[in-house]
Amino acid sequence: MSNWLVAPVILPLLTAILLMAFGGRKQVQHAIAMISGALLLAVVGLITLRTAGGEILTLPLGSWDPRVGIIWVADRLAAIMLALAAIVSFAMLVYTPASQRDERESRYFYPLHQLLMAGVNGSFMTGDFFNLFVFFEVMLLASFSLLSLGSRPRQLRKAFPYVLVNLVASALFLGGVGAIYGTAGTVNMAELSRRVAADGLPPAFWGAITLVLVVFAIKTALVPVFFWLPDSYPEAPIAISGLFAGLLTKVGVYTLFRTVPLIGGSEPGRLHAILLFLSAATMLIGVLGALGRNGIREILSFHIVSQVGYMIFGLAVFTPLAVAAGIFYIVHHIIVKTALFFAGGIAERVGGSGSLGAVGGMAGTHPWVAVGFFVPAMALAGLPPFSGFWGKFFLIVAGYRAGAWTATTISLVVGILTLASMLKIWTAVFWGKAEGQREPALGHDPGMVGATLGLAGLSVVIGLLAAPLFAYSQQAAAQLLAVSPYVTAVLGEP
Amino acid sequence: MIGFAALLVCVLFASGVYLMLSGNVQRIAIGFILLSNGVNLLVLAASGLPQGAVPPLLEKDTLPGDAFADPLAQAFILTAIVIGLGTASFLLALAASTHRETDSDELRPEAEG
Repeated sequence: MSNWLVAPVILPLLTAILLMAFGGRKQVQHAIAMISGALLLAVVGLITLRTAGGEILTLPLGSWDPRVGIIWVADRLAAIMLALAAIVSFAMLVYTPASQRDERESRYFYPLHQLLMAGVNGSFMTGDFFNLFVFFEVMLLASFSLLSLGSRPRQLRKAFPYVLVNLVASALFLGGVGAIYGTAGTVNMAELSRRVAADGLPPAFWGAITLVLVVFAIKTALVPVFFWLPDSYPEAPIAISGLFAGLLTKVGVYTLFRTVPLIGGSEPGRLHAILLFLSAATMLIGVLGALGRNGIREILSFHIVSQVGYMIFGLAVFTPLAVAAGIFYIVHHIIVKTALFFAGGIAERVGGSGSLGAVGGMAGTHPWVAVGFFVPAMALAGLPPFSGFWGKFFLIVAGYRAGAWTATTISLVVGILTLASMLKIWTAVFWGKAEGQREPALGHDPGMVGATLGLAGLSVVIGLLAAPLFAYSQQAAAQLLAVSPYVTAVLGEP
Repeated sequence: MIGFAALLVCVLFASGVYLMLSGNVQRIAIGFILLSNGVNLLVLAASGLPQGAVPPLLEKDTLPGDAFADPLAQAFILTAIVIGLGTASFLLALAASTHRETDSDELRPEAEG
């Protein structure tokens, strides 16, 4: 019982309300949002410390029996995700002011961002499927509004598929949750896990849970349900697409990491085989799609799809080593991907357009932006000594040890193609003579460059501290796979 | 009764999805409203419909043998209705601003600005 577990959700909610009161005053809003972001970092840091020893924090709201009530749970993995969300969100706040293109884009930006964070944080901590649905909706509504901020015609048209796919996914999710409740009599994940272990569920339950898993796959942007992502992300306001890129699909990944060990049993089975196939397809199709694109954020968006494949690959192999590698990969990816979108966004602001060829020679005129792109780009491609190298290294070792030859080999090939794509952006935007720089001064904005370099630096630190961080990922994976500590923490001793 | 509910869910889903696939922002909004109502009905049906069951209130005229309607499923639906309303109003706002910006309700590539 720890009441302050509500803080990561309540704090952004209250901040959002407060921010609404300062409607047109952007500086004040920004200052308040920064203070709230710093507080969130502190709270989340505390949760991370408390859970580091292996304790699982729970908060049954209103002290209802968790099988019918709402319970919030924070274990090591949830704390890691909360911490990453707070870090990326704070970096985005530093980045935001200069990145906004016009007045329309900045209206309601800060309150909506806080609501988004409330939804994201809630999704990480919730212990039952229905509450997860609610937090998904909170997150989605905020993300819809953020995505269409500025309402340029092209942006609105591209936002519609995102909105529709996610709405249909939500409808399926709710239907699935209803069917789970109808067949199992509870939507609490721990209780469901106990029932699954006792083998006491009717076949219809498996239909319902499959529906829910499909929804998670849509949110994660796994092949074949990824198409909504690469179209919509490049159209969002720049700072927001950075936050989405780092965080939103990873909420889907997290829900899969949370659900599959609880529901899928302790040994790899058919579910894991399907996930393994999908993850390999996702890696490959994402990277191939990126090769055909011709805009900075378009290319980077396809790489999100490809990278999600790596994380799910770790989950699908399902050995403790592989799941730990998957968690490590999530940590690395959230930081690196946001940094890449931030650096690409600066180039887009300087050049006035995101297509390759609009702007060139940034390395000569804006060396720090170039560093802020180069480091995460190499990390994404998996070159040593950056964080991505270790992420891929652990995954590949785990994959070969578990005998997943094809998928692991695909992941190696995809790494090379990723490098090709990153070099494509690098040569077009940063190399060569300076050209097309319509607003070069924007590229020196301390907030934008600082946030980008901060995240790039964090990626280097993750690379250098790979050993202790991976050890921690292994602890988190062990806790996740053991299942019984989680179930006992939520429901008490049987 | 359950068969009838299933049929109704089926019709609501089919017409909702049909409208959502049309590429016209107003039809999409209406389609979503149908779809979300279909899902709410699905949740109610999955919980075993309150057929002849009494509200779960313990009063003196409640008989020991009375079956109670499942309150949790109805709480789910109540929440979902609220969320559905919020989402529908967002969709309508999006449709309105699409119309304002592009002078058309259609989501066609040639309307690119």
